[in-house]
Amino acid sequence: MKTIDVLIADDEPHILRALSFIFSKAGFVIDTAVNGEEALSKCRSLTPRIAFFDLVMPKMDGIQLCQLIKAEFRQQPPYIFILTCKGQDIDKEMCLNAGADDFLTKPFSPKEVMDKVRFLLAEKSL
Amino acid sequence: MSMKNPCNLLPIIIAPLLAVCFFTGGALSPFRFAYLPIMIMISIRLPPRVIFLTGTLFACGFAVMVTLNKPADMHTIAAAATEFVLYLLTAWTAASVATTVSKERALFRISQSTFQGLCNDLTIKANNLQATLDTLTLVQNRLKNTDRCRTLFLGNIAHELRTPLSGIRAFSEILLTHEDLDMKSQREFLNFINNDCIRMATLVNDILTSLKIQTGNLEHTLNKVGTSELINECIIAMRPMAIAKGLTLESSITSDNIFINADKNQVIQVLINLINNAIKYTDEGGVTVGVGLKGCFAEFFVIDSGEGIFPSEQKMIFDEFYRVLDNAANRPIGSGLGLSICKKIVEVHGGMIGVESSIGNGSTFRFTIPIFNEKPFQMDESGEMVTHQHKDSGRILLIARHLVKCLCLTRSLEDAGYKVITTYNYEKAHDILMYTNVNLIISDLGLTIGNNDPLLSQAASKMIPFYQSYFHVEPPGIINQFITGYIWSPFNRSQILPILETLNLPRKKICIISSNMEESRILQTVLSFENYKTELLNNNDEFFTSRRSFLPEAIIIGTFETDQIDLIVDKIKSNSTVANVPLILALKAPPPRDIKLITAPAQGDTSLLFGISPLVQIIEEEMLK
Repeated sequence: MKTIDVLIADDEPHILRALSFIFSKAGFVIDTAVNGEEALSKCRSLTPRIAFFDLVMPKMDGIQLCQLIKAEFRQQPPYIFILTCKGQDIDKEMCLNAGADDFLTKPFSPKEVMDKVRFLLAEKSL
Repeated sequence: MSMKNPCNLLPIIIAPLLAVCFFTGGALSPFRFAYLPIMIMISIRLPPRVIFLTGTLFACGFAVMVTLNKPADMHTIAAAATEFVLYLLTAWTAASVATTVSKERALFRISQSTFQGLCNDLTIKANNLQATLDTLTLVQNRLKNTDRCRTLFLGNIAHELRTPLSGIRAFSEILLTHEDLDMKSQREFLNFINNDCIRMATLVNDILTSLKIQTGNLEHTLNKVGTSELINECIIAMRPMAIAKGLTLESSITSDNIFINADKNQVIQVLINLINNAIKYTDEGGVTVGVGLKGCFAEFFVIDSGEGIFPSEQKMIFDEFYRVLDNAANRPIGSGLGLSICKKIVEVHGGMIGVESSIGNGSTFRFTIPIFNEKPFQMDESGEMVTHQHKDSGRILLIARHLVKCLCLTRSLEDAGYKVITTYNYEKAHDILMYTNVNLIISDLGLTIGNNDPLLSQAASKMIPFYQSYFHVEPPGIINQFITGYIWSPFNRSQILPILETLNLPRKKICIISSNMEESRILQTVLSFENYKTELLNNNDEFFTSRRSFLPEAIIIGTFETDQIDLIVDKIKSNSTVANVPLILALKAPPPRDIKLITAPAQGDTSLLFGISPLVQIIEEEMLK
């Protein structure tokens, strides 16, 4: 089975382009999805180590997707980042309760995201 | 147990009475014996004059009996005279007792009715308080809702701004940190940044437009606009966008050129927005724009062959920041405010907007704009055509029950370019005010409205001027000219006396015309404490005929409906005996403080009502404020 390092799911094309550019440039194997359902099927087929899900997406939102994936991949679930524009405490709490591992508020710095991912891969041996 | 039956008590009561009767001489002279109890009984039930007359008759009877039964010597005559005097004294005492009793009884009745009146007033007050409380609760809920909407609006703005901002930040950082980027990628990222900047600018503009519409500051000038030219302009502007996406953009005009009364640029904005959305959400086929006549409106339509909108979403697409999410793989850039702005612009013009759509069959957006009406054109002095355009936000709520008056006023106001909403009572007006914004309220119902009426408090809270008009096409003119003063329930000394003192009534005679007995009694009691003589009349009574001895110096008109007050005033004024007597009008509640009075010409010049009347001038001045 083909595996990838990072899966990015967002309905905004420029976010997809920016994140995929920085991860590809750093040598990661990546894939993208434009809605929740596509992200779920790619998670099943590509078993990414790290996943970035937008909170508000068509067909399935980030929280729902997170719950499904965490329930399905009990043994080795991907490390999930939720991307959101909102950033209120309640959103963060909801995301963490749904099983997300971290929370990223837009606008974010690509460098910081990159550093975070590198740290995770190195320290936690994801 | 047997004691409970009243029949068993009779021997016990009758036996002592018979004993008293026998031992006091009642058995020998029953006529004399019966005199005292009869006098006591009639002193309670009958008027003093009758009692005195009965007593005198008894006395005379006794005197005659004594004289007839015995020889007429001096002793007998003296005894008969003494007895006659004693009987007269008894009758006089009984009569005075009866007078006191009847006075007390009358006072008791008045006090009772006063108490009843006060109880009723308290009930009315309690109801009014409850109504005020309900209004306050409603206002509080609305404020809470407004606050929630504002927070939601700000949250949505922040959300919509963060999205393009994140693109700008990400790509600018990438461009700064990756110096080895090839020209193609650089241009691609700069293009992303540029698009995000445009998106932010559009969003800011849309927010400003939306806020302008919400606060009523969106300026719009209504003109005669041809719909065919308007649609052609939009098609020319949007065709490149459609061609770039491989779509067709056609016009479909079903009838002759329809002229609408609208702000051209704003209708173009609505059409462009709808065409833009149609192109963005359509991948194959094309978009058709057209217009047709529907009653007094021109109905524009924009038909696309896109994916369509789910029924659940059709109601929400005109909400601020709502966007159709399915199809977001290629989600077009937008502020989420476009359709809400379209809706507001159409509504400001007095039209409606809606959508018909089914999944897989595309969508049809329709909106209506009033057609241009030739009526508002009038000739000025030089013979030039003058347009009375609808004033921006010049909406008037007219409360009038009289159909002719209502039509006259509406016609005058509409001729002057105002939009008029009419209703026939205060409750309906209150409901209308809850859901509609008006700039002025004119009431023709008379001063039957209380100061604590929910409509007035609502008008005051919304800072809407409230005008009270008195328009009479026929003489006698204006009611309030004849009314010297107002009193109001609950009636009390402190509010009635100052008016009466100003009137200076030497004989202190006042007439109260009321159909409400309790009200009359209360007023009578209050006035009786100040030694005023009162006469109570019903509305149906024949007023002040020459046979009447009571000629009032002032007349109090009770709490009638306005139409009835008109009739009563007419009736009084047509009666020469009381035509000049000052009139005091009783109200159900204190007269409203903030009501301004507009008076029509007293001679009933109808041409003024049908043309630019003084009312319209007052409204013009009020609107300028």
